[in-house]
Amino acid sequence: MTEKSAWTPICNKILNDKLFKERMALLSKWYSAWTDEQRWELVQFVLLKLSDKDLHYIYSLLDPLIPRPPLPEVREDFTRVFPRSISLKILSYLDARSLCRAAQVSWYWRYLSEQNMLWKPKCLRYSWFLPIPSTQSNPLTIWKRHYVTCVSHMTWRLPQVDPLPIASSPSPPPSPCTEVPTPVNKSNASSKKRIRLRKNFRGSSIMQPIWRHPNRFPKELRSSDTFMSSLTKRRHLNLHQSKASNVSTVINEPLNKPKSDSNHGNSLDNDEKDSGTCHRPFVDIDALLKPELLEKLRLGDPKEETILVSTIRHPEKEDKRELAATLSRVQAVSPFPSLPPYYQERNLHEDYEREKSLEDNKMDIKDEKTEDDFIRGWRDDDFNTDSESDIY
Amino acid sequence: MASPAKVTGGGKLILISGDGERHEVSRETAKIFRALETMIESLGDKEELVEPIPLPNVSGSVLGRMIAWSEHHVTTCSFSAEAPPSSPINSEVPVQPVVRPKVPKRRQPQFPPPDVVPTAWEKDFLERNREDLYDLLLAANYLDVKRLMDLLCARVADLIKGKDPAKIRKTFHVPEPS
Repeated sequence: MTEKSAWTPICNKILNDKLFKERMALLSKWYSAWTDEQRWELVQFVLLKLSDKDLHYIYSLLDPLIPRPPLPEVREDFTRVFPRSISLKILSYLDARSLCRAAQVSWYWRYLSEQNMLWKPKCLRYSWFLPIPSTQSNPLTIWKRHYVTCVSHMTWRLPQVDPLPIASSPSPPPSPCTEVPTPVNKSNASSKKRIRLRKNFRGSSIMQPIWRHPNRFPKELRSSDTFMSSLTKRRHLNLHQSKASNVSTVINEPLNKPKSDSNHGNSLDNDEKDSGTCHRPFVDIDALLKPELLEKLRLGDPKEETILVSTIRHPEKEDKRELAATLSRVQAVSPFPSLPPYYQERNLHEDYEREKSLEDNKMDIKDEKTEDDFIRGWRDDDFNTDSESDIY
Repeated sequence: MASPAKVTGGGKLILISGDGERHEVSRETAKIFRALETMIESLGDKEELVEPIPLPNVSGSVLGRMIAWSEHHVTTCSFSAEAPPSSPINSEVPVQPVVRPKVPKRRQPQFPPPDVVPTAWEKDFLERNREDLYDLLLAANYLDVKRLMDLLCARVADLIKGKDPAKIRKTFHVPEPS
Protein backbone atom coordinates (compact mmCIF):
# COMPACT_ATOMS: atom_id res chain seq x y z
CA MET A 1 0.00 0.00 0.00
CA THR A 2 2.68 2.41 1.02
CA GLU A 3 4.50 1.99 -2.24
CA LYS A 4 1.56 3.33 -4.11
CA SER A 5 0.74 6.00 -1.56
CA ALA A 6 0.95 9.55 -2.83
CA TRP A 7 2.39 10.74 0.47
CA THR A 8 5.44 8.51 0.73
CA PRO A 9 6.53 7.39 -2.71
CA ILE A 10 9.43 5.22 -1.49
CA CYS A 11 10.16 3.43 -4.70
CA ASN A 12 10.42 6.59 -6.76
CA LYS A 13 13.56 8.23 -5.44
CA ILE A 14 13.34 11.46 -7.40
CA LEU A 15 9.77 12.03 -6.42
CA ASN A 16 10.57 11.15 -2.83
CA ASP A 17 13.36 13.72 -2.65
CA LYS A 18 11.13 16.35 -4.19
CA LEU A 19 8.36 15.69 -1.74
CA PHE A 20 10.78 15.70 1.18
CA LYS A 21 12.13 19.08 0.16
CA GLU A 22 8.63 20.48 -0.17
CA ARG A 23 7.74 19.27 3.31
CA MET A 24 10.95 20.63 4.80
CA ALA A 25 10.19 24.02 3.26
CA LEU A 26 6.69 23.88 4.65
CA LEU A 27 7.96 22.88 8.07
CA SER A 28 10.53 25.67 8.18
CA LYS A 29 7.80 28.10 7.18
CA TRP A 30 5.63 26.92 10.04
CA TYR A 31 8.57 26.83 12.39
CA SER A 32 9.42 30.45 11.79
CA ALA A 33 5.80 31.36 12.30
CA TRP A 34 5.45 29.54 15.63
CA THR A 35 5.97 31.03 19.04
CA ASP A 36 8.88 29.99 21.21
CA GLU A 37 6.77 27.69 23.33
CA GLN A 38 5.42 25.91 20.31
CA ARG A 39 8.93 25.43 18.98
CA TRP A 40 10.15 23.99 22.26
CA GLU A 41 7.24 21.62 22.28
CA LEU A 42 8.21 20.39 18.85
CA VAL A 43 11.87 20.02 19.83
CA GLN A 44 10.92 18.14 22.94
CA PHE A 45 8.63 15.89 20.92
CA VAL A 46 11.42 15.16 18.45
CA LEU A 47 14.11 14.65 21.06
CA LEU A 48 12.07 12.11 22.99
CA LYS A 49 11.54 10.07 19.85
CA LEU A 50 15.26 9.85 19.04
CA SER A 51 17.13 6.60 19.23
CA ASP A 52 20.64 6.16 20.67
CA LYS A 53 22.15 6.43 17.22
CA ASP A 54 20.43 9.74 16.58
CA LEU A 55 21.58 11.02 19.95
CA HIS A 56 25.18 10.18 19.10
CA TYR A 57 24.76 12.04 15.85
CA ILE A 58 23.44 15.07 17.70
CA TYR A 59 26.30 14.84 20.15
CA SER A 60 28.86 14.81 17.35
CA LEU A 61 27.10 17.83 15.83
CA LEU A 62 26.93 19.80 19.06
CA ASP A 63 30.29 18.85 20.51
CA PRO A 64 32.43 21.20 18.39
CA LEU A 65 29.85 23.98 18.82
CA ILE A 66 29.91 24.00 22.61
CA PRO A 67 32.40 26.64 23.63
CA ARG A 68 35.10 25.30 25.92
CA PRO A 69 36.80 27.51 28.46
CA PRO A 70 40.40 28.29 27.60
CA LEU A 71 43.03 26.09 29.18
CA PRO A 72 43.27 27.11 32.80
CA GLU A 73 46.76 28.46 33.02
CA VAL A 74 46.90 28.32 36.76
CA ARG A 75 46.91 24.94 38.42
CA GLU A 76 47.69 23.24 41.63
CA ASP A 77 51.29 22.35 42.29
CA PHE A 78 51.53 18.80 41.03
CA THR A 79 54.46 17.97 43.25
CA ARG A 80 52.12 18.32 46.22
CA VAL A 81 49.34 16.28 44.66
CA PHE A 82 51.28 13.37 43.27
CA PRO A 83 53.63 10.93 44.90
CA ARG A 84 57.28 11.49 44.18
CA SER A 85 57.54 8.81 41.52
CA ILE A 86 54.86 10.41 39.34
CA SER A 87 56.38 13.86 39.74
CA LEU A 88 59.70 12.45 38.64
CA LYS A 89 58.08 10.78 35.68
CA ILE A 90 56.59 14.10 34.65
CA LEU A 91 59.94 15.82 35.02
CA SER A 92 61.63 13.11 32.98
CA TYR A 93 59.76 14.43 29.94
CA LEU A 94 61.58 17.75 30.22
CA ASP A 95 64.71 18.74 28.40
CA ALA A 96 67.85 19.81 30.20
CA ARG A 97 67.14 23.50 29.97
CA SER A 98 63.63 23.29 31.36
CA LEU A 99 64.88 21.08 34.17
CA CYS A 100 67.41 23.72 35.15
CA ARG A 101 64.65 26.28 35.24
CA ALA A 102 62.42 24.02 37.27
CA ALA A 103 65.25 23.69 39.77
CA GLN A 104 64.94 27.38 40.53
CA VAL A 105 61.28 27.24 41.49
CA SER A 106 61.48 26.04 45.06
CA TRP A 107 63.58 23.80 47.23
CA TYR A 108 61.40 20.78 46.63
CA TRP A 109 61.34 21.31 42.89
CA ARG A 110 65.08 21.65 43.00
CA TYR A 111 65.38 18.43 44.94
CA LEU A 112 63.20 16.67 42.40
CA SER A 113 64.74 18.06 39.27
CA GLU A 114 68.32 17.41 40.27
CA GLN A 115 67.83 13.73 40.89
CA ASN A 116 70.43 11.53 39.31
CA MET A 117 67.81 9.37 37.68
CA LEU A 118 66.71 12.30 35.53
CA TRP A 119 70.17 13.33 34.45
CA LYS A 120 71.90 10.02 34.15
CA PRO A 121 70.09 8.96 30.97
CA LYS A 122 70.73 12.38 29.50
CA CYS A 123 74.45 11.87 30.08
CA LEU A 124 74.53 8.26 28.96
CA ARG A 125 72.76 9.25 25.78
CA TYR A 126 76.00 10.91 24.69
CA SER A 127 78.14 8.40 26.57
CA TRP A 128 79.31 10.91 29.09
CA PHE A 129 80.30 8.45 31.74
CA LEU A 130 81.45 9.64 35.09
CA PRO A 131 85.22 9.50 35.22
CA ILE A 132 85.01 8.50 38.88
CA PRO A 133 83.25 5.54 40.43
CA SER A 134 79.77 6.36 41.61
CA THR A 135 79.61 5.78 45.30
CA GLN A 136 77.43 6.97 48.07
CA SER A 137 79.87 9.67 49.04
CA ASN A 138 79.26 11.44 45.75
CA PRO A 139 76.84 14.33 45.83
CA LEU A 140 73.32 13.43 44.83
CA THR A 141 73.37 15.88 41.98
CA ILE A 142 76.55 14.59 40.42
CA TRP A 143 75.00 13.58 37.12
CA LYS A 144 73.49 17.00 36.61
CA ARG A 145 76.78 18.70 37.29
CA HIS A 146 78.47 16.28 34.99
CA TYR A 147 76.00 17.06 32.23
CA VAL A 148 76.43 20.79 32.62
CA THR A 149 80.19 20.40 32.72
CA CYS A 150 80.27 18.33 29.60
CA VAL A 151 77.96 20.66 27.70
CA SER A 152 79.87 23.78 28.60
CA HIS A 153 83.15 22.07 27.97
CA MET A 154 82.11 21.07 24.49
CA THR A 155 81.61 24.67 23.47
CA TRP A 156 84.88 25.76 24.97
CA ARG A 157 86.78 23.48 22.75
CA LEU A 158 85.02 24.42 19.57
CA PRO A 159 86.92 27.60 18.60
CA GLN A 160 90.12 25.66 18.21
CA VAL A 161 88.82 24.07 15.07
CA ASP A 162 86.57 26.68 13.52
CA PRO A 163 87.03 29.97 15.33
CA LEU A 164 83.79 31.60 16.36
CA PRO A 165 83.18 35.21 17.34
CA ILE A 166 81.59 33.85 20.48
CA ALA A 167 84.97 34.05 22.08
CA SER A 168 84.82 37.82 21.74
CA SER A 169 81.37 38.00 23.33
CA PRO A 170 81.42 40.20 26.45
CA SER A 171 79.87 37.65 28.75
CA PRO A 172 82.40 35.10 29.93
CA PRO A 173 81.52 31.43 29.59
CA PRO A 174 79.63 30.28 32.65
CA SER A 175 81.51 28.45 35.28
CA PRO A 176 80.76 24.76 35.00
CA CYS A 177 79.34 24.35 38.46
CA THR A 178 76.61 26.92 38.08
CA GLU A 179 73.37 26.16 36.44
CA VAL A 180 72.57 27.15 32.94
CA PRO A 181 71.78 30.83 33.18
CA THR A 182 68.27 32.01 32.56
CA PRO A 183 67.29 35.49 31.55
CA VAL A 184 67.04 37.89 34.45
CA ASN A 185 66.25 41.55 34.53
CA LYS A 186 69.08 43.52 33.11
CA SER A 187 69.76 47.17 32.64
CA ASN A 188 68.70 48.70 29.35
CA ALA A 189 72.17 49.17 28.01
CA SER A 190 73.25 45.62 28.45
CA SER A 191 70.02 44.27 27.06
CA LYS A 192 70.41 46.44 23.97
CA LYS A 193 73.88 45.15 23.55
CA ARG A 194 72.58 41.65 23.89
CA ILE A 195 69.94 42.25 21.26
CA ARG A 196 72.54 43.62 18.89
CA LEU A 197 74.71 40.62 19.49
CA ARG A 198 71.82 38.32 18.89
CA LYS A 199 71.02 40.03 15.62
CA ASN A 200 74.59 39.55 14.58
CA PHE A 201 74.33 35.92 15.39
CA ARG A 202 71.15 35.57 13.46
CA GLY A 203 72.55 37.32 10.43
CA SER A 204 75.54 35.10 10.17
CA SER A 205 75.13 31.39 10.16
CA ILE A 206 77.15 30.96 13.31
CA MET A 207 76.10 28.56 15.98
CA GLN A 208 75.41 29.95 19.39
CA PRO A 209 76.55 28.16 22.47
CA ILE A 210 74.03 25.65 23.69
CA TRP A 211 73.00 27.48 26.79
CA ARG A 212 72.04 30.49 24.75
CA HIS A 213 70.05 28.76 22.10
CA PRO A 214 67.50 31.11 20.52
CA ASN A 215 64.76 28.52 20.62
CA ARG A 216 62.38 29.17 23.48
CA PHE A 217 61.28 25.57 23.43
CA PRO A 218 64.54 23.74 23.33
CA LYS A 219 64.77 20.10 22.45
CA GLU A 220 67.21 17.41 23.36
CA LEU A 221 70.47 17.32 21.52
CA ARG A 222 70.51 14.90 18.67
CA SER A 223 73.59 13.47 17.15
CA SER A 224 72.35 14.78 13.82
CA ASP A 225 72.57 18.36 15.06
CA THR A 226 75.12 20.44 13.31
CA PHE A 227 76.90 21.00 16.53
CA MET A 228 77.25 17.37 17.36
CA SER A 229 78.25 16.45 13.84
CA SER A 230 80.94 19.11 13.78
CA LEU A 231 82.19 17.77 17.05
CA THR A 232 82.36 14.28 15.68
CA LYS A 233 84.08 15.50 12.58
CA ARG A 234 86.68 17.26 14.61
CA ARG A 235 87.26 14.18 16.66
CA HIS A 236 87.59 12.22 13.50
CA LEU A 237 90.40 14.51 12.38
CA ASN A 238 92.07 14.33 15.73
CA LEU A 239 91.88 10.62 15.73
CA HIS A 240 93.62 10.29 12.46
CA GLN A 241 96.38 12.57 13.56
CA SER A 242 96.83 10.71 16.77
CA LYS A 243 96.81 7.45 14.92
CA ALA A 244 99.58 8.67 12.70
CA SER A 245 101.71 9.68 15.62
CA ASN A 246 100.74 6.51 17.45
CA VAL A 247 99.75 8.50 20.52
CA SER A 248 96.17 8.86 21.58
CA THR A 249 95.99 12.00 23.56
CA VAL A 250 92.67 13.60 23.03
CA ILE A 251 90.18 11.06 24.09
CA ASN A 252 91.91 9.10 26.73
CA GLU A 253 92.88 11.97 28.91
CA PRO A 254 90.04 11.69 31.36
CA LEU A 255 90.68 8.03 31.68
CA ASN A 256 94.31 8.75 32.34
CA LYS A 257 93.39 10.38 35.57
CA PRO A 258 93.20 7.27 37.73
CA LYS A 259 96.42 6.11 36.12
CA SER A 260 98.48 8.23 38.47
CA ASP A 261 97.35 5.90 41.14
CA SER A 262 100.37 3.65 41.14
CA ASN A 263 99.39 1.37 44.01
CA HIS A 264 96.86 -0.50 42.05
CA GLY A 265 98.19 -2.82 39.47
CA ASN A 266 95.09 -2.59 37.40
CA SER A 267 95.60 -3.02 33.76
CA LEU A 268 94.51 0.51 33.04
CA ASP A 269 97.75 1.31 31.28
CA ASN A 270 97.39 -1.56 28.94
CA ASP A 271 93.81 -0.71 28.35
CA GLU A 272 94.61 2.71 27.19
CA LYS A 273 97.21 1.48 24.80
CA ASP A 274 94.82 -1.05 23.40
CA SER A 275 91.80 1.11 23.24
CA GLY A 276 93.71 4.03 21.91
CA THR A 277 94.39 2.22 18.71
CA CYS A 278 90.94 0.90 17.99
CA HIS A 279 89.04 4.10 17.34
CA ARG A 280 86.40 3.95 14.74
CA PRO A 281 84.37 7.13 14.65
CA PHE A 282 81.00 7.77 13.02
CA VAL A 283 79.23 4.86 14.61
CA ASP A 284 76.46 4.95 17.15
CA ILE A 285 76.23 3.11 20.37
CA ASP A 286 72.47 3.18 20.27
CA ALA A 287 72.40 -0.10 18.46
CA LEU A 288 74.02 -1.69 21.45
CA LEU A 289 71.85 -0.19 24.15
CA LYS A 290 68.47 -1.82 24.05
CA PRO A 291 65.53 0.56 24.21
CA GLU A 292 63.53 -1.31 26.83
CA LEU A 293 66.50 -1.37 29.16
CA LEU A 294 67.18 2.26 28.67
CA GLU A 295 63.57 3.13 29.25
CA LYS A 296 63.77 1.45 32.62
CA LEU A 297 67.17 2.91 33.28
CA ARG A 298 65.66 6.30 32.72
CA LEU A 299 63.38 5.68 35.64
CA GLY A 300 66.37 4.82 37.75
CA ASP A 301 65.78 1.15 38.32
CA PRO A 302 68.94 -0.25 39.91
CA LYS A 303 68.12 -3.78 38.79
CA GLU A 304 68.02 -2.77 35.19
CA GLU A 305 71.32 -1.05 35.56
CA THR A 306 72.91 -4.28 36.63
CA ILE A 307 71.32 -6.05 33.72
CA LEU A 308 72.58 -3.43 31.33
CA VAL A 309 76.11 -3.72 32.62
CA SER A 310 76.01 -7.47 32.45
CA THR A 311 74.64 -7.51 28.93
CA ILE A 312 77.36 -5.20 27.79
CA ARG A 313 79.93 -7.29 29.51
CA HIS A 314 78.73 -10.65 28.40
CA PRO A 315 76.68 -10.25 25.30
CA GLU A 316 75.32 -13.46 24.00
CA LYS A 317 75.70 -13.10 20.32
CA GLU A 318 78.39 -10.53 19.76
CA ASP A 319 81.92 -11.67 19.57
CA LYS A 320 84.98 -9.87 20.75
CA ARG A 321 85.51 -8.02 17.58
CA GLU A 322 82.09 -6.48 17.76
CA LEU A 323 82.69 -5.52 21.33
CA ALA A 324 85.91 -3.85 20.36
CA ALA A 325 84.04 -1.88 17.77
CA THR A 326 81.52 -0.88 20.39
CA LEU A 327 84.19 0.31 22.71
CA SER A 328 85.70 2.39 20.01
CA ARG A 329 82.27 3.86 19.37
CA VAL A 330 81.91 4.84 22.96
CA GLN A 331 85.26 6.51 22.88
CA ALA A 332 84.67 8.19 19.59
CA VAL A 333 81.51 9.78 20.85
CA SER A 334 82.74 10.54 24.32
CA PRO A 335 83.24 14.28 24.53
CA PHE A 336 86.19 14.35 26.86
CA PRO A 337 89.03 16.29 25.38
CA SER A 338 90.49 16.52 28.83
CA LEU A 339 89.31 16.21 32.37
CA PRO A 340 86.45 18.65 32.95
CA PRO A 341 87.42 21.48 35.26
CA TYR A 342 84.72 20.56 37.70
CA TYR A 343 86.58 17.50 38.81
CA GLN A 344 89.83 19.34 39.14
CA GLU A 345 88.14 21.90 41.32
CA ARG A 346 86.46 19.48 43.56
CA ASN A 347 89.54 17.33 43.91
CA LEU A 348 87.45 14.38 43.08
CA HIS A 349 90.55 12.79 41.80
CA GLU A 350 91.79 12.55 45.36
CA ASP A 351 88.46 11.19 46.40
CA TYR A 352 88.88 8.56 43.82
CA GLU A 353 92.26 7.47 45.16
CA ARG A 354 90.95 7.37 48.66
CA GLU A 355 88.05 5.26 47.62
CA LYS A 356 90.30 2.97 45.69
CA SER A 357 92.43 2.36 48.74
CA LEU A 358 89.31 1.67 50.73
CA GLU A 359 88.24 -0.72 48.07
CA ASP A 360 91.54 -2.54 48.30
CA ASN A 361 90.93 -3.31 51.92
CA LYS A 362 87.74 -5.10 51.14
CA MET A 363 88.41 -6.60 47.83
CA ASP A 364 85.88 -9.37 48.09
CA ILE A 365 82.98 -6.96 48.42
CA LYS A 366 82.76 -5.60 44.97
CA ASP A 367 80.09 -3.26 43.79
CA GLU A 368 79.04 -4.39 40.37
CA LYS A 369 77.27 -1.26 39.43
CA THR A 370 79.90 1.44 39.60
CA GLU A 371 80.46 3.46 36.50
CA ASP A 372 84.13 2.80 36.70
CA ASP A 373 83.47 -0.88 36.42
CA PHE A 374 81.15 -0.10 33.63
CA ILE A 375 83.97 1.37 31.63
CA ARG A 376 86.91 -0.60 32.87
CA GLY A 377 85.15 -3.92 33.10
CA TRP A 378 84.77 -4.75 29.51
CA ARG A 379 88.17 -3.49 28.70
CA ASP A 380 89.90 -5.66 31.22
CA ASP A 381 88.06 -8.76 30.39
CA ASP A 382 87.64 -8.65 26.74
CA PHE A 383 90.15 -6.43 25.09
CA ASN A 384 93.52 -7.11 26.51
CA THR A 385 93.78 -10.28 24.58
CA ASP A 386 92.76 -8.68 21.33
CA SER A 387 95.59 -7.27 19.34
CA GLU A 388 95.17 -4.31 17.05
CA SER A 389 95.45 -6.41 13.97
CA ASP A 390 92.46 -8.36 15.14
CA ILE A 391 90.38 -5.28 15.45
CA TYR A 392 91.43 -3.61 12.28
CA MET B 1 30.16 10.44 29.59
CA ALA B 2 29.56 7.98 32.35
CA SER B 3 27.24 5.75 30.42
CA PRO B 4 27.83 2.08 31.07
CA ALA B 5 29.42 0.09 28.31
CA LYS B 6 27.11 -1.65 25.93
CA VAL B 7 28.90 -4.73 24.82
CA THR B 8 27.09 -7.81 23.75
CA GLY B 9 28.72 -11.11 24.43
CA GLY B 10 31.71 -11.87 26.60
CA GLY B 11 31.76 -11.98 30.35
CA LYS B 12 30.89 -8.72 31.98
CA LEU B 13 32.35 -7.10 35.04
CA ILE B 14 30.87 -4.54 37.34
CA LEU B 15 33.18 -1.84 38.59
CA ILE B 16 32.15 0.30 41.53
CA SER B 17 33.78 3.67 41.90
CA GLY B 18 34.66 5.42 45.13
CA ASP B 19 31.37 7.32 45.27
CA GLY B 20 29.28 4.26 44.53
CA GLU B 21 28.64 4.54 40.79
CA ARG B 22 28.28 1.20 39.04
CA HIS B 23 29.89 0.70 35.67
CA GLU B 24 29.41 -2.39 33.60
CA VAL B 25 32.28 -3.25 31.30
CA SER B 26 33.19 -6.16 29.14
CA ARG B 27 36.09 -8.33 30.09
CA GLU B 28 38.15 -7.20 27.12
CA THR B 29 37.66 -3.58 28.01
CA ALA B 30 38.66 -4.10 31.60
CA LYS B 31 41.85 -5.79 30.48
CA ILE B 32 43.19 -2.41 29.37
CA PHE B 33 43.42 -1.66 33.09
CA ARG B 34 46.51 -3.68 33.78
CA ALA B 35 45.83 -3.60 37.48
CA LEU B 36 42.79 -5.79 36.87
CA GLU B 37 44.37 -7.91 34.18
CA THR B 38 45.70 -10.68 36.38
CA MET B 39 42.47 -10.95 38.25
CA ILE B 40 40.49 -11.21 35.04
CA GLU B 41 42.80 -13.85 33.65
CA SER B 42 42.50 -15.87 36.81
CA LEU B 43 38.73 -15.94 36.33
CA GLY B 44 39.25 -18.21 33.38
CA ASP B 45 36.15 -19.45 31.63
CA LYS B 46 33.69 -18.37 34.24
CA GLU B 47 30.95 -16.55 32.42
CA GLU B 48 29.90 -13.90 34.87
CA LEU B 49 31.52 -12.35 37.84
CA VAL B 50 28.68 -11.66 40.21
CA GLU B 51 30.59 -9.71 42.77
CA PRO B 52 31.38 -6.15 41.73
CA ILE B 53 34.96 -4.90 41.87
CA PRO B 54 35.40 -1.91 44.15
CA LEU B 55 37.80 0.82 43.00
CA PRO B 56 37.80 3.13 46.02
CA ASN B 57 40.48 5.50 44.72
CA VAL B 58 38.65 6.47 41.55
CA SER B 59 35.65 8.75 41.43
CA GLY B 60 32.64 7.94 39.28
CA SER B 61 33.11 10.50 36.55
CA VAL B 62 36.79 9.73 36.21
CA LEU B 63 36.07 6.03 36.03
CA GLY B 64 33.56 6.73 33.26
CA ARG B 65 36.24 8.51 31.30
CA MET B 66 38.75 5.77 31.88
CA ILE B 67 36.22 3.26 30.57
CA ALA B 68 35.63 5.45 27.52
CA TRP B 69 39.38 5.42 26.96
CA SER B 70 39.71 1.68 27.26
CA GLU B 71 36.68 1.05 25.05
CA HIS B 72 38.25 3.14 22.37
CA HIS B 73 41.52 1.29 22.60
CA VAL B 74 39.81 -2.08 22.56
CA THR B 75 37.94 -1.21 19.37
CA THR B 76 40.88 0.27 17.55
CA CYS B 77 43.06 -2.48 18.89
CA SER B 78 46.00 -0.17 18.66
CA PHE B 79 47.60 -0.83 21.99
CA SER B 80 46.10 -4.10 23.16
CA ALA B 81 47.49 -7.44 22.14
CA GLU B 82 44.03 -8.98 22.00
CA ALA B 83 41.93 -9.23 18.88
CA PRO B 84 39.13 -6.69 18.75
CA PRO B 85 35.70 -7.91 19.83
CA SER B 86 33.48 -8.73 16.90
CA SER B 87 30.56 -6.67 18.16
CA PRO B 88 30.57 -2.97 17.45
CA ILE B 89 30.64 -0.63 20.38
CA ASN B 90 28.61 2.50 20.65
CA SER B 91 31.18 5.03 21.66
CA GLU B 92 30.38 8.69 21.93
CA VAL B 93 32.75 9.77 19.23
CA PRO B 94 32.81 7.98 15.89
CA VAL B 95 35.81 5.72 15.92
CA GLN B 96 38.63 6.82 13.69
CA PRO B 97 41.19 4.40 12.40
CA VAL B 98 44.36 4.84 14.41
CA VAL B 99 47.45 5.57 12.40
CA ARG B 100 50.40 4.49 14.46
CA PRO B 101 53.52 6.53 14.00
CA LYS B 102 56.08 4.53 12.10
CA VAL B 103 59.16 3.90 14.17
CA PRO B 104 62.12 2.20 12.58
CA LYS B 105 62.88 -0.78 14.68
CA ARG B 106 66.57 -0.96 15.28
CA ARG B 107 68.32 2.15 14.12
CA GLN B 108 66.11 4.67 15.81
CA PRO B 109 67.47 5.49 19.25
CA GLN B 110 64.73 5.11 21.84
CA PHE B 111 66.52 7.17 24.42
CA PRO B 112 65.51 9.75 25.74
CA PRO B 113 61.96 8.41 25.86
CA PRO B 114 60.23 8.37 22.50
CA ASP B 115 57.87 11.27 22.16
CA VAL B 116 54.39 10.01 22.75
CA VAL B 117 52.39 11.14 19.78
CA PRO B 118 48.70 11.26 20.59
CA THR B 119 46.27 10.23 17.90
CA ALA B 120 43.42 12.50 16.96
CA TRP B 121 41.05 10.74 19.31
CA GLU B 122 43.52 10.90 22.16
CA LYS B 123 44.13 14.58 21.58
CA ASP B 124 40.41 15.15 21.77
CA PHE B 125 40.23 13.03 24.91
CA LEU B 126 42.92 15.08 26.61
CA GLU B 127 41.31 18.28 25.44
CA ARG B 128 37.95 17.31 26.90
CA ASN B 129 39.44 16.26 30.23
CA ARG B 130 41.90 19.02 30.85
CA GLU B 131 39.90 20.29 33.79
CA ASP B 132 40.75 17.35 36.01
CA LEU B 133 44.01 16.26 34.49
CA TYR B 134 45.43 15.38 37.87
CA ASP B 135 42.53 13.14 38.89
CA LEU B 136 42.81 11.31 35.61
CA LEU B 137 46.55 10.93 36.04
CA LEU B 138 46.13 9.48 39.51
CA ALA B 139 43.46 7.10 38.25
CA ALA B 140 45.65 6.04 35.33
CA ASN B 141 48.45 5.39 37.76
CA TYR B 142 46.15 3.41 40.04
CA LEU B 143 44.71 1.32 37.23
CA ASP B 144 48.12 1.06 35.55
CA VAL B 145 47.27 2.29 32.06
CA LYS B 146 50.68 2.98 30.65
CA ARG B 147 49.88 4.88 27.50
CA LEU B 148 47.44 7.20 29.24
CA MET B 149 50.06 7.82 31.92
CA ASP B 150 52.64 8.72 29.30
CA LEU B 151 50.31 11.08 27.50
CA LEU B 152 49.17 12.81 30.66
CA CYS B 153 52.69 13.19 32.01
CA ALA B 154 53.86 14.64 28.72
CA ARG B 155 50.90 16.96 28.87
CA VAL B 156 51.78 18.23 32.35
CA ALA B 157 55.41 18.54 31.31
CA ASP B 158 54.28 20.75 28.44
CA LEU B 159 52.99 23.19 31.02
CA ILE B 160 56.52 23.58 32.39
CA LYS B 161 58.39 23.71 29.12
CA GLY B 162 59.64 27.05 27.91
CA LYS B 163 58.72 28.97 31.05
CA ASP B 164 61.04 30.81 33.37
CA PRO B 165 60.98 30.05 37.10
CA ALA B 166 58.70 32.97 37.95
CA LYS B 167 56.14 31.83 35.41
CA ILE B 168 56.32 28.26 36.62
CA ARG B 169 55.68 29.48 40.15
CA LYS B 170 52.66 31.40 38.96
CA THR B 171 51.32 28.49 36.98
CA PHE B 172 51.57 25.97 39.77
CA HIS B 173 50.83 28.22 42.73
CA VAL B 174 54.23 27.63 44.24
CA PRO B 175 54.89 30.22 46.95
CA GLU B 176 57.84 32.51 46.46
CA PRO B 177 60.88 31.28 48.38
CA SER B 178 61.61 33.60 51.25
